[in-house]
Amino acid sequence: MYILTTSNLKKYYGQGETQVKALDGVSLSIEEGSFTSVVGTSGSGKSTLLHMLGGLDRPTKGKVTVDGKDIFSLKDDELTIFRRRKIGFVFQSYNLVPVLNVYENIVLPVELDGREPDKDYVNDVISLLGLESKLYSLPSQLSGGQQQRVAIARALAAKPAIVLADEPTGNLDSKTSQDVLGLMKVTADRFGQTIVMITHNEEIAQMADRVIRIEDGLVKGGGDDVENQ
Amino acid sequence: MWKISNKKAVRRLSDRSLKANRTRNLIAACAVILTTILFTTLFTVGIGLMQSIEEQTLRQSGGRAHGTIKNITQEEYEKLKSTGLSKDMDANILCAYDVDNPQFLKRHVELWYRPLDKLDWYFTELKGGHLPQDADEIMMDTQSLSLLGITPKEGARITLHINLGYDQPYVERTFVLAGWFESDPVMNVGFGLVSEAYLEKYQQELAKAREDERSSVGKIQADVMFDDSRDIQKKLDQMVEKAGYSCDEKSPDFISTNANWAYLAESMQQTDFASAAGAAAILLIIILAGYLIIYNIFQISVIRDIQFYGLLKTVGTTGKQIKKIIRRQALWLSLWGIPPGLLGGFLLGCALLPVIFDISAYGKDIAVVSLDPVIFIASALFSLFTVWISTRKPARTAARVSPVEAAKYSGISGKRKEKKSAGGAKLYRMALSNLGRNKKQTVIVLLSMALSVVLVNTVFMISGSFDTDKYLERFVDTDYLIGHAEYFNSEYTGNDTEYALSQSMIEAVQQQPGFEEGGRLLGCAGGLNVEKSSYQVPAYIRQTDGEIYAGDSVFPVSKNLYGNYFCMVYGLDDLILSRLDVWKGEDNLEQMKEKLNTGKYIIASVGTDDNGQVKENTAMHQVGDKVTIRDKENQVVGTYEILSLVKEKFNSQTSRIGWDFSYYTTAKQFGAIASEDLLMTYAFNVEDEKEAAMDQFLSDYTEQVEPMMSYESKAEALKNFSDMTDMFVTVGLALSLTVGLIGTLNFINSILTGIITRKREFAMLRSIGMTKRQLKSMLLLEGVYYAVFTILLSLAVTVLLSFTALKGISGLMWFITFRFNLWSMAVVIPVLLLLGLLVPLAAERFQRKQSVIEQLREE
Repeated sequence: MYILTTSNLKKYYGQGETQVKALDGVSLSIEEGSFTSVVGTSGSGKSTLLHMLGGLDRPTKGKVTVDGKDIFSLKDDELTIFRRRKIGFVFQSYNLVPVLNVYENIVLPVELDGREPDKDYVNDVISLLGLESKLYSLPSQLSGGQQQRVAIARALAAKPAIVLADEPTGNLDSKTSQDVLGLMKVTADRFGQTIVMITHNEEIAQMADRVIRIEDGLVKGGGDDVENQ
Repeated sequence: MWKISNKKAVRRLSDRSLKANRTRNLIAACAVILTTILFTTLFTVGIGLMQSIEEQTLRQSGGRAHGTIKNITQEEYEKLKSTGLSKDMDANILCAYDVDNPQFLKRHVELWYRPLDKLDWYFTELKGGHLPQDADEIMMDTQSLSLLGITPKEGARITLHINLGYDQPYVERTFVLAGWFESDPVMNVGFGLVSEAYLEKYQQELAKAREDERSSVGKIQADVMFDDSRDIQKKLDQMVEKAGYSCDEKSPDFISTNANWAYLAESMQQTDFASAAGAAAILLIIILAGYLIIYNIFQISVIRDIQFYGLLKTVGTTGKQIKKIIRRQALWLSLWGIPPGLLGGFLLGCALLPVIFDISAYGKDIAVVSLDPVIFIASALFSLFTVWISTRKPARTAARVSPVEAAKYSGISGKRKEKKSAGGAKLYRMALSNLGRNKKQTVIVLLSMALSVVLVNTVFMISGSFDTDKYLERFVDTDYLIGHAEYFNSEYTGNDTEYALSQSMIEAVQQQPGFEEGGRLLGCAGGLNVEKSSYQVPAYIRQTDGEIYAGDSVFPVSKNLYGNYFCMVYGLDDLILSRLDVWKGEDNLEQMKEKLNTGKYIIASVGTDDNGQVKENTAMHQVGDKVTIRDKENQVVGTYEILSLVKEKFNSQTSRIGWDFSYYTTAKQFGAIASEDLLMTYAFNVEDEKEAAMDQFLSDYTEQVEPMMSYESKAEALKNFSDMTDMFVTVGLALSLTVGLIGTLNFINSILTGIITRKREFAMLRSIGMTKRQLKSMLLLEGVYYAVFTILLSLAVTVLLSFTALKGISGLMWFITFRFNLWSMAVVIPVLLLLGLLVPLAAERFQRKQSVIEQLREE
């Protein structure tokens, strides 16, 4: 059962001579409950791919289906709502809302959706990530690793279909990176969560169940078996 | 599916990020306060003016009641009251038609009984003492008391010589003063109010007076209040009919009623187009000023926080929710800003209202500050509206942020591809480019500052264009004009000598030192008329159904019972004759005199508009026409040929009553038409250095020697003129200053946020070797550029306006001769340059102080 598929996904920037083909026909299928990492050098198009997968940006061509829904058939606000229900994000720069405390940050996507957070579940996530003592702290008072753990908790809070992580350990030292990644894996296993993670760090990438390589906007390895052969 | 309750999260986000934006909030709240102050001041003054004038009209009409039912009996009163058609009703009884003490020669005083609980209907408010209770107690207005030489004191004895009506004997009666009240300055009528006990005691006398049908004494005058002031006459008629009486004058059951004219639509709704347009223009300027700043504040803050909004988007905030977040913040800022603005504006309005009234015909004493809730509701709504339209665009900008783009957004749209300059990185170039980074923001700051500069300049340009000569020309012809007080009230008709100027006053004036020259104007209407059959109607004069219409008048020229047209004839001494403004025909003074004195010629006048231009369709004759004038017995006075046509000088050469047919001849020839005693006015000139002495003399003379005489002087007109100019400048400057404050605030906000958001950039510049001094210089240069561009922009707009809109205004106001001047710029330029230097300096200092907090915020 694929929770996420793309077909012939293209994203071009600019026109004519200066045109950049950030993605040039990517087709992927991600299995539910799997932990996939996408690796590539800087400029390979991996961030663009993640933006497309998460519906943050619209492709020039191609389709992305999440949980059976063609996400780009949605209008902007519908897409936003779909996103906050089905997709969790973890960014390199944490992107926590500075004016909200840890708990408020975590439940923000759920509340924006007008729902009451599932308290037991959220508490479970919080304790798993070791954030119990920090619930009322503001992001500015936390270390990088702590902030990223909050971001992970936030990504999970809405019980999304898929979690997309964009260089989640990019701003962390290697020890903390290991910890954070370990936590991600644990929570994914625990809650049966699908995770797609982007990284340029081979060592980190190897911790995933599956590694997809991207170069010059094309899948160069680890892609769908069907399409690679 | 989308109908979800997510208010809590939106609210929390909105409120928290509001708290994090202290500097912006402070500036935005100030902007809202200033905008609200402007609105409230405008409404306070506007509504105050309207209500004061309304109140004034009611005072002039004598009471607040909607209507009066006249000369009825107690029985009729009860019946009318029992119809239930009125909201309230009172029974007043006139006790004496006139109080005839010699001290009241110039004042009409009446004796009334009024129900004591309805005194406020008649603007009567006990100022001292108590209300009359006993039969001999009386309450009187202060001016009448002072004419009687009585100091207001309880228990003072007053003897009044009262007139009970036609053919009734005068009665001398002594009263005891119970209380007193302020005289109404708008009417020269005094009142004595007596008690119910008086009615009892003198009921026989009143009953006798009541018998005379012609008189109102002893009869009830019932004042009526309805629920509202619509269709008053109709309601009165209904009341009369329901009570079983008639509104038909011929019926024996006729009851006469009268609606209070002050409530009639025409007198109450004198909203002329010009004032309405002026108010609308000011409203627009305020909205514009408010928009320019509030928009800029929010736009800058949205751009600064664009990453924040992008982030919110990624975690699932919809565009709608982001709009709500910003709207909610704007609403909060309005809640902080509007109440103090309402208070400030109200106080400012209260201060300005008397200034405006001071120069109006009403005088500042009547300025009534209104506490009408409409002022506050309308101001608050307009402020909210301004905030709403100002935050629309910023909210949309934030809502449209693409989560990916937000990360790169710096407020610069990347259209510019290259910068072709090889001059190197000079400070002044950098500063200039910095201004160009966000052109829209820069332009808005410039506009908002220029708005006030243009306003200031416009105020001074218009006030500088007020033309003293044009103004004086209209109101005065010579240094002084003396006449009977009623002449100046436009009551002189010359039917008899009742309102004629006294010869003794002319003689007294001629004996004053410094007297140079003078001339009489004799004037007579007195039934004189133009023989219809002799009158050749010019083609441009409208005729319908045997009536003729002068100019654009809707009323036909009035006729006497022989069907001839009434006219006015003036006789002039040489001085006045020489000051006639000839439009067509003979204009040589000697020739004119000679021909007029033959008794075969006469001069006719034509009307002019506000700008002194002849209204040709008011010329009842052309030069060479023949006209026969008859007197009221229909005897021919003479037949004349029109010698010339002169432009009417309404205030100096007419009786101040418009006559369609009016003629001028010499004083000598006037004697052949009417009595030479019909002395209307005397105009004279005085040596300049003796003018003050003459003013004093005339003021004393008209008070002490001949109180029925009055005068007008050039000095007085000049004072009215400068009062008007002062008022215009005061009000104009108050408006410009507030708008200027808004502009400055906008400037401060831009500079301040410019410095805060570029902190990292400054650090980078420092790291590559820019000294602190250089950094400061760059900031100062930016400030100076703002100032310079503001000056250039204001100059351009002012010049443009001067030759378009302002010229148009000068056409609207007759006493304006448009003069272009920019001297107020000379004052504004240094102020702007100083601002341009001081604001960046202060902002930089402020920022350094604030850096810890701001940095925390930025994290």
